Amino acid sequence: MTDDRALLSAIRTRDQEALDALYEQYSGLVYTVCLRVLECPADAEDALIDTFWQVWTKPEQYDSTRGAVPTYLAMIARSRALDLRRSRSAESNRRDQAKPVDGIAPTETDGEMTIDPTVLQEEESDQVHGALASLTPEQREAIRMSFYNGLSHQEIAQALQIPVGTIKSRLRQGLIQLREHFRTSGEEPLS
Amino acid sequence: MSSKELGELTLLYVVDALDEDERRVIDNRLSRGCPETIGALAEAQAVVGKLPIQEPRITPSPRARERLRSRVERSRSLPTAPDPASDLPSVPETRPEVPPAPGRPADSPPHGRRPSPRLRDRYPLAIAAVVSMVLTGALMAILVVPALFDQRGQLQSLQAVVDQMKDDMLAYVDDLERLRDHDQVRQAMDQMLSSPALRVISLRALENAGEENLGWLYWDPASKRCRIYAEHFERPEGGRFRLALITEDEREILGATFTFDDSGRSFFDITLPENGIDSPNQFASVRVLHDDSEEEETEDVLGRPILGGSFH
Repeated sequence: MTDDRALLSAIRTRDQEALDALYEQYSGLVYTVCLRVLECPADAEDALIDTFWQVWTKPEQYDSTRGAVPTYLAMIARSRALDLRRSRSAESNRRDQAKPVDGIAPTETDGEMTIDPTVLQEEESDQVHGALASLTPEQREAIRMSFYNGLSHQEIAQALQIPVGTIKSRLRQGLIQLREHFRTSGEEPLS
Repeated sequence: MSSKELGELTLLYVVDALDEDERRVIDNRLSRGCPETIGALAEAQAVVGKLPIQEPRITPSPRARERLRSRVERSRSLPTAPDPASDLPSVPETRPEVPPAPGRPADSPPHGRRPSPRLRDRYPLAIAAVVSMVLTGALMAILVVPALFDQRGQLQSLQAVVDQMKDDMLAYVDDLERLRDHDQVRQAMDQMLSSPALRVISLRALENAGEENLGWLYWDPASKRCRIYAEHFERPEGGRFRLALITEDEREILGATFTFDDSGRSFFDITLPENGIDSPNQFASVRVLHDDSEEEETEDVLGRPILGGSFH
């Protein structure tokens, strides 16, 4: 973690090797987020590059006191991917379908977000997996559609044909539960 | 707003799941730099940002890394904006000492063609403007051109558009050439129709048809052009016809062909051969005949000869 922050600090000094190292370490994470959002490898590659380009050109945006580098990168990746998808809104119909991508789909049961334990990044993944496992399938589904599909609670409600209030409640309760899980599991979300 | 409420709202804020008024509340607090809101938002981002941590990682293609490196290197190779004051060539301080002209101050230019000090003061500004323009051009070339070529798909699309434009242009040229040819004919016929020598011949049946007018022949002896109006001609299928000028002793002295087509037009422009028909007095009648008749005695279009009638 400290190394990550050192890399960000080096990037502030225009150290290209630091950017390379950061890419080496997190391009998989960033690309995975982009691919989940965009469902298209070529678009995901564009969003991946946009993400690291943002890190390179605006390294000051990262505040080390506010979070870990991977979560910071994941949020940038999601934003860039959603921006790209909105800009290609001709394909917006697929938002209603929110289909998983072949080959990268998590092991899905009743549309929930679960994991393939053979490919995960050990401890941290286990913690997140544990946090997700504490949610109901409905909460996981709502969070998945919100995070990866960038849908508003109204859009999720429309897609699932469920009242908006119900979706909002599921999102709120699910996210609160995740946060509490991280707090009580001893993991420091902000570290 | 309690800390608990703020924590909940910021979680929903991060995933864009707030109502408009709720979002406005958070935006306002952030714009005021509220530390509690900023902290809650950071925690919310950290929570939500962890979601993909558990995802199976997918490795991007090596090409992505190369694209990123290429973009970074291009940005690094860009020249930084020059400091106009420091980058401008310095003006030599030493100048040959020229004795001042009588009555001229010692620091005035040695001769009247030197620019005024006020104008010379503008040199750095002008040079800075030129340097800025050159750098802007270089910047555009470095940023825009590679970016274009980087988008291979866009380039291919552009090529397709160019090819289509080329095809369209060639078709347009063909149309222009046809129009030009058509226009030349039209101009020639306009010239014929406005000729003072124009003769108009009423086409009537030679026999047994009374005074019924079946068409007109416009003939300009000067240009040797004819236009035949054949509205009332019967039109046998596939008919190719011949306009014949007939003498009093029934000799055909000149002929030209025309064909009814599917366009529905009923007039035909005919250029007669150049062999010396200068006056309507040289022929007694015109006839329109089936051109494909192999018989010695050609069959009239109307089943009867057509008389070249009165001249107007």
